[in-house]
Amino acid sequence: MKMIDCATAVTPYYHYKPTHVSSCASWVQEYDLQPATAGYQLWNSDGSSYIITNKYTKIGNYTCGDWAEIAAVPVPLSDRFRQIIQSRQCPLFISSRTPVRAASEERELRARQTLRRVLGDDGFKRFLRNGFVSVRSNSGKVYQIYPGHGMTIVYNHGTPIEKLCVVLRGDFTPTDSLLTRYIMILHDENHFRSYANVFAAPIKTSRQSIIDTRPLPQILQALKTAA
Amino acid sequence: MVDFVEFPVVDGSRLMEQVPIPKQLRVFDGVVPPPNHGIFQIMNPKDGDKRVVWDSNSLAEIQAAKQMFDDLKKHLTPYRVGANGKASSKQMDEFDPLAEQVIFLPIKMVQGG
Repeated sequence: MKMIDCATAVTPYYHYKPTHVSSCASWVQEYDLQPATAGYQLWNSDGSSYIITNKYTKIGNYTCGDWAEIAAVPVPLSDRFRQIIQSRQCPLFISSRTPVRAASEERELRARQTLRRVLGDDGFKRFLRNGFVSVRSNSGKVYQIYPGHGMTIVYNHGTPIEKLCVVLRGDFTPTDSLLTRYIMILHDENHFRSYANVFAAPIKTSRQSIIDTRPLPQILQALKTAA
Repeated sequence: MVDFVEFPVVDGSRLMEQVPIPKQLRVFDGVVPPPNHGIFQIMNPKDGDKRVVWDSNSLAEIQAAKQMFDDLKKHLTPYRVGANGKASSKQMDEFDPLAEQVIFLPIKMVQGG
């Protein structure tokens, strides 16, 4: 994990715009991209996967091949400063939740009907709104399950402790994959974990740490110095 | 005409296992089964899930459902699942005619990513 603060970086501030999402890898790693202060990038590179995120980066899945397709576009200082002022004019909302998209495929619709029946109406509404299903296991840990090949994030007392990669092979729908993992965890989490490849927990950025509380003249001075 | 449930045997292959649906049972397109009926939901790539219902007041249908349960259990894992948000899940070793909802999952197709 490598973090670069653009205020001190040699290169001027850029925002990175994914121009193409590659499907060259057979797997897709899903990350919770962290909201970051403007002018701050977070890199994570482990072989073929990486995260590039900053305030302007589109939240999504990035796999091998994306890196080469990302175009760097310099942001003028005036725009940069305007964005900082605008960001201070409203409450700061941070959300990494992506609502579930409408489905048209019959199989997916049927899978969602089944999930709705299993979760109940309230649980299903939460799934549509948040894009994931949370289930508390017998051990007290909470598993956050995403559709398709998304990682399952494990929380203990509200703190993410690890990510589990368990997938359903074959041409199953994303919601079927979610439902399978949901039922497995509900039944026996240890059995579920026996299939999993375990990864480190995602880094949680606290709300306080991403708010730049410096006075505006001081920020402007820092930006000018960096430019 | 005999209806089948199809599910993959090996990942990456078109080889499909078929289990016939007994003629006493019927394929159901709805979500909530009629009163006094149990439902099998068989997860498969072709249909998303195939739903088969049986009348728990009919001995012939219970016997047919048991036969189908045993056939499916050779390939898939049956879970008795709580419905309408009643979070519960119990793996079934034997057919229970009182089970309201049974979901058959392709646990063999689960693997670490």
